[in-house]
Amino acid sequence: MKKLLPLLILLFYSTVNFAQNIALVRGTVTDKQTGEPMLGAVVTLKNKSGYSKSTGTGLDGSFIFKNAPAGNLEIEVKYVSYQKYETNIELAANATRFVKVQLEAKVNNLNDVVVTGHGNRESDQSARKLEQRSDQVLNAVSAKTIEVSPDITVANVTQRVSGVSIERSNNGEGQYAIIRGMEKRYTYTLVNGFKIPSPDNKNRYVPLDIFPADIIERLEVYKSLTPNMEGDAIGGGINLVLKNAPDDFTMKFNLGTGLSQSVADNGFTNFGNNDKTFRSPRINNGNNYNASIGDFSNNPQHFTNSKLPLGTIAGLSVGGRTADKKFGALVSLSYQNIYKNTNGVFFQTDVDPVSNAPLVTDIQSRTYSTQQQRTSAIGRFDYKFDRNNHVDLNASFIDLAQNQYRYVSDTSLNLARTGIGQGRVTENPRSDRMVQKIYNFQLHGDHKLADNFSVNWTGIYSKATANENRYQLALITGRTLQADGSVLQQPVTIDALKGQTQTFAYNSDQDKSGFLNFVYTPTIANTKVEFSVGGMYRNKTRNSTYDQYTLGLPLTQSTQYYDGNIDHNTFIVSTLQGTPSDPLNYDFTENVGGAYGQFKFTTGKLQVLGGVRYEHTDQNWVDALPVTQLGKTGSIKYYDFLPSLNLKYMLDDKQNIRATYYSAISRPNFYELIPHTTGDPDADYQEVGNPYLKHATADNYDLRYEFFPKALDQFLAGVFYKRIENPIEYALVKQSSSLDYVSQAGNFGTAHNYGFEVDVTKYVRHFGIRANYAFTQSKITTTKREDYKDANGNNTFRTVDQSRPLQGQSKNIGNISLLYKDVKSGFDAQISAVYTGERINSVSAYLNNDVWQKGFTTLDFSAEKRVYKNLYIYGKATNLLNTPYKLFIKLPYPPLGKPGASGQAIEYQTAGENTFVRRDTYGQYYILGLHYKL
Amino acid sequence: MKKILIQLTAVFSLGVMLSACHKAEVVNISQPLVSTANGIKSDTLSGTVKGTMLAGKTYYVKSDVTVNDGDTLMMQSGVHLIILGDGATPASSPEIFMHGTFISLGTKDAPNYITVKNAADLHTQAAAQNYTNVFKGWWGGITCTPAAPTPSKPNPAGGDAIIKWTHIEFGGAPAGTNDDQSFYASGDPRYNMYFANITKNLIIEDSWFFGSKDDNIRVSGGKISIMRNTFELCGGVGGEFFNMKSGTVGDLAYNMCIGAATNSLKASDAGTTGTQCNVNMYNNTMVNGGYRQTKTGRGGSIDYEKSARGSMYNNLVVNCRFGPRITSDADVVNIKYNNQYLYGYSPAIVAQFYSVDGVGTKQSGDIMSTTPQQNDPKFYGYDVNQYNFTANPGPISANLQPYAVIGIGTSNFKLQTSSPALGKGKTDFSPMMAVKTTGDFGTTITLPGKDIGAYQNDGTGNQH
Repeated sequence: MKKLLPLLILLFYSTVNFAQNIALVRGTVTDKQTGEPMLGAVVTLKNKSGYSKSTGTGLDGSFIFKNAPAGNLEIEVKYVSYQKYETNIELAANATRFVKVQLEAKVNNLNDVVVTGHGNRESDQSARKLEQRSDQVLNAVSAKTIEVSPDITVANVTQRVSGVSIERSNNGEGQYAIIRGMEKRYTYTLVNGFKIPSPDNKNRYVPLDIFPADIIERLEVYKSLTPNMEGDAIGGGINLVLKNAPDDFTMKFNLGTGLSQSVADNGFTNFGNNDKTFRSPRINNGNNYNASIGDFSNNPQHFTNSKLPLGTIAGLSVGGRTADKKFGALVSLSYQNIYKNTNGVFFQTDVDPVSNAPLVTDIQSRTYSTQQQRTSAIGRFDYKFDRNNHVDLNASFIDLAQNQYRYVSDTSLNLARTGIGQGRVTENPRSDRMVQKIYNFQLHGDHKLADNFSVNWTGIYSKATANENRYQLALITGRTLQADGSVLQQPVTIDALKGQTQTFAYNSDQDKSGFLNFVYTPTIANTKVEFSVGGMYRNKTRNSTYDQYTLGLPLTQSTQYYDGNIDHNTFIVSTLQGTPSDPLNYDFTENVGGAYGQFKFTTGKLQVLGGVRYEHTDQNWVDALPVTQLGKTGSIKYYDFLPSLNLKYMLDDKQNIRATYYSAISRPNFYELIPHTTGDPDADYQEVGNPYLKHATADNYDLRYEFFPKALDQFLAGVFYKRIENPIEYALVKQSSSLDYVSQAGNFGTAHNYGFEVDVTKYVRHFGIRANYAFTQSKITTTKREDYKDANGNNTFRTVDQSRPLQGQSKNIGNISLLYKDVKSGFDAQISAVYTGERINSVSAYLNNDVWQKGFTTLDFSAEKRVYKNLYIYGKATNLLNTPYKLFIKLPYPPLGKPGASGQAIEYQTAGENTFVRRDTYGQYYILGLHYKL
Repeated sequence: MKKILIQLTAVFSLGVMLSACHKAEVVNISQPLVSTANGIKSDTLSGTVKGTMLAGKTYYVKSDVTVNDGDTLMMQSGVHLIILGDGATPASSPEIFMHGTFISLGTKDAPNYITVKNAADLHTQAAAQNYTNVFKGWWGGITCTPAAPTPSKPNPAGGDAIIKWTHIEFGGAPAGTNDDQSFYASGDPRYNMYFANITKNLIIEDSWFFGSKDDNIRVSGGKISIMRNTFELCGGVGGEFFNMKSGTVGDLAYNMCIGAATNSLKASDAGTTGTQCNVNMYNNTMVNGGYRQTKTGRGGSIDYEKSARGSMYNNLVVNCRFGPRITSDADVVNIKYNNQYLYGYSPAIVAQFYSVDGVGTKQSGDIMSTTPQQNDPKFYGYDVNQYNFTANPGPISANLQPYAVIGIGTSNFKLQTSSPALGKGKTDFSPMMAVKTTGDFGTTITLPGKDIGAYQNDGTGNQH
């Protein structure tokens, strides 16, 4: 009762308050045809005696006028391309009047080419409709949502979708989507429904941070597959639907500038361009070429500091249709130039050979300055011959150029460590320039040959390339204990053997693919049944070259001090011919052929979509290994039958229940199959390939309830279960000849992944809330090693089986966004929080020593305000909490030990608490800009 | 009729759930090519070989040579094996890939040589204090590892290496095409010898090693018996004479070590073999080590590092930049040590008799002073004060080191009868004797000696 009392008082007070209003006019505005609420319609209330007030409808189509004068009133409602609505009402004093307004679209009678069903495809409404009407389990994010969201890359948009978390790169930008805790390998990326090749050396699917957010009309996240979709998406698929030619002439323009808090605090480090070559001397001059020092540039080791470089965000899209509406075109240009810094601390860990407890061996301080330039040009052209035939062409060019400076200072925590602030120190200034490009041409045709028979086809040529050059200098210094007890700061010298390392990596991935589908829709038993059959074929060729050159010191000048200017030092080429035998020099061909049969019909309230897909995979490679080693050449062939069934039971026009089964596969990445032994310099362990890696297969079950009470509101709740055979995970393994553990992809029996998701969107006038939550549980069992001292006093180990979640899978993922939208004043604001629960970052070879990423919450804010007609000013602020990326081991840091030994005292570590592994911070990022729509 | 559709659907649904079919991969991965070994028919070894190099003859190696698993390559006495390498590229710097057994049976009177064509010239340059070519690394060394697994031999274990009265010199050319990247990344300097056959024996007796670019010998697992050898002038800017990792078990005794870039002998359990590195080092003499290592916090004579264990007795350490060093992460409680003899020219050397960043301390039987130039060990033919270590505390480039300080040359490190090191050795402990075989193809272990250092006054110990 005590708790109720204040509530009652509040209720009473508000009732009294309400009663004091003279009169109230409330109402809703909807589309007469669809019944959808109309957001942003202008409602004017006036009377003859000069009273006139206007308001805009809210997100739910509602409006309200308080303190309206009693008497005869006129209501006028206007909305673009809808007919004006007028009505008169009689309002009594102290009364409330509810008005229902239905607007009718202006009819377009210009010609007989029917242009139907467009609406505004970029709107939230259409995204919700898509979710409701789709044949499969999907979530969609509209361009409008993206535009007002804080996100500027597609990767960061995906994390707003239920059950999706993201894997970030080392500048804090999202890079890959993790759907329902399934590692990125299980999720494919489509552009307009078709795969594009990846410039990423390690992954077959294109990273999402390459796409600026403003080029897409809609982002779709598929959580189940239909037979007409390619089957290698166990987790699901991300489809970027690019903007399409609009019916009316449209121009959009966007210009903004950005600022990173960490750059503002610390400045930004730039480096020079290689003025000699972008490809390796070996590639330029042939395998037998002996490089000389003149082939290498010092420029990438010339560093300068910019105090406050500002980012640029610009976009322009122009589109429209010819007068007869037959030909449409849209060209979008986008440019982003972003500067960010990352600061981090990292502990290299090992385990104590007796207790198997975590043992820290090095502490590293890392700073990054990362510049990312995204440039893209996208053209979409379509031509409608008549109502039954149309073709469209999509040509895109996407380019991500990244300049990254990294400085690592590594202090050894075992040898020569006699106290805090002492030890051997290696320092590595490094610059890395990577240019990724994607060219994509898609030609697509739809032909309706008869009323119940149609055919569509697609031809695609696309190519992705990446050129990454790295320049690292190895420096040595230290603070070592002297015989007299003092600690001496050693001068900074250049590591005579390692000197400079210059790495030149290049890879290209080219796809030629064709798709052909037939759709036949006869009426069987009074029910329209849609049969489709189709096939596809893709020829993929991937080429990779990799060379590493070491520029060491001449023996006669083996001790050289480094004063910050590398031009004062002398180097000689130690590796004259690069690394021609590195297996990252390879040619890989993959031919995938697919065929499917699918049917779909609706009977009563039940929609059934089912069928089976066949995929044949044929892979071949030749790499640069000598014939005396395993895997110089390889060929792998397999095929899969992938049935699926999607049932949708429509309880009423607002509620669905879906039950879905589909079978899917995941093909290993090329990088994982090629028996390489080098590659990622940032990897904590040496990575090696596994030519015997199998493809993973999975059975996926989904059950989902959907409720769409109003056009923008929704409630989705579902459960899922996935049974994955031969899941692919990275594990540390011991190879026969090598001294240390290496990191290698392998297959691990059977994994089970299950959970549930809830997704709620609710709008009340100017306010909206979007929230989703996903719970995921997975289990996989692998063999781990446990070190101990045996009865004879010798250090040795035993193997133990341990179960754990899949790598990268968070048990809890949540999202919440609060939105405010006032159409009249043209003000939009949104605050979004994402919670990603703890997850395994990397799997240790040792029992209980897996490295976990701590659960974290990121908070982003964005706002937009109309300043003049169609001109808006907007601001975005991301990572408001400066959320750190934290890694740890779920084992207590050991009790205090001697310096250099297990449990030594060191900053960041507290005995008895989880062992600290890494912390990176990225700082806030702010964007301010203008955009203009015509 | 609609019912029928629904029924059909139900039947189909069941069918669907059961019909997923995944064809296992048909995989065809090229297997490591194992060529049939040829006998030694000419004076040039090439490709895959096995057999015996006959006494007193000279043989040549122009390109990489492989010995298959189960095969033996043997050198009788007095054999010269000349490696024709230029050290410029991996392809022009041959390596001996030893997946079988390697035997080099030199004798005191007819030692074997595994060296390069211009060896005499290189020795002359060294004697003239010009080391640029000496440390260049002219060939790829002898690499003793298990063969790549093949379906017929899924678990090859490699073979023994038995080396007696043999000179091995001038290895260290960059690794490349044919090397296992897990221990020789492309471009890395290779060693004179690499041995990683954890169940096999590595026996090196009465042999000479000279002029490697980096480490001279590295052992990543194996049963070792390293007796009475001479190590000189190895490591241009870093590297050890004998570097032991996880899986290495055995004895190192009566070795004469002079002019190592870093340590002479280093034991560490780095690696993951599951067999703890456990080595006894006794009666070794180490002179002037550790000065070319440009990195700080390294050793200069003997190191026991990460989890390594063993024992260390009767070693004579003269003017090394750092004395014996037991790091705090070594298996400290299982390291026994005593009876070392330490001499230092400068205060800096004296202060590091037991390296200050280690946990080793003076033991009851140690001979060491806190004053520089105390306890001259009185070598027969070497002046311990001939070089000014106060002025050159290290790190220094090789060209600042006179040949006499880093090579044996005309020096003689036997002890005078007046040496305070005589009779101060500990003899009441046993070698580990990890290598059980004795005789021509086995080991001859010299037991702990009463005089500290490699040379015993009774003529036993190092025979060079």
